[in-house]
Amino acid sequence: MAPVVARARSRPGATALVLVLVLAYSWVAGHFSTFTRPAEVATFIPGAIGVAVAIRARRPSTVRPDRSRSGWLAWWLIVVAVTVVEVLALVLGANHDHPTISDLVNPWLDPTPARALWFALWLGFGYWLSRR
Amino acid sequence: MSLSRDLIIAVYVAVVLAVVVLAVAAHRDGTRLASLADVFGRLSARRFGRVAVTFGWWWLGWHFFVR
Repeated sequence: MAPVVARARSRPGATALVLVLVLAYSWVAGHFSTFTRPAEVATFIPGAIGVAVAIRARRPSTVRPDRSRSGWLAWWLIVVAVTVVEVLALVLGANHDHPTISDLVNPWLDPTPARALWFALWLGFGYWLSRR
Repeated sequence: MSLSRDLIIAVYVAVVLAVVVLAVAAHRDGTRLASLADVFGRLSARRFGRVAVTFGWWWLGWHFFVR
């Protein structure tokens, strides 16, 4: 995946082609319902490619060295807040009165166009992560 | 709507807003706040972390699009 995108970055036409392919893939994947084999395959393929790229990558870290301790702490506080509320909702039954993130997000994934859009965003997020 | 549901949703909304504010603030000139790219860059600095982050991303897709 990375070499294709790296080449695409140097050629606008190739970039557009990759973008169209990603959107087309997302559109197709957006038609697959959860708990089905096609949905499994459509999600497995980019995940497997992503893990293969992560294992083979020799990219140096992009962390800037002058970040403050409080600058990191703020992100950890967010992670802790989400974890506490999520675990609390799960312990209390993950029901209407105690919704988890999944309970709140799932209705947004139902219509095919929305599902395709979220799938494309997920792929984009994966690509962004591969560049860190 | 119940109080606990409203409270839980309020916390999630607050977290989303905090992420947006922090992400924007981390890109201002002269700031020493870590950006999201710094956070994931640090997590991905070693191969184990990079693979773990990628598995986390994969799980996210699996959770929402398959299960």
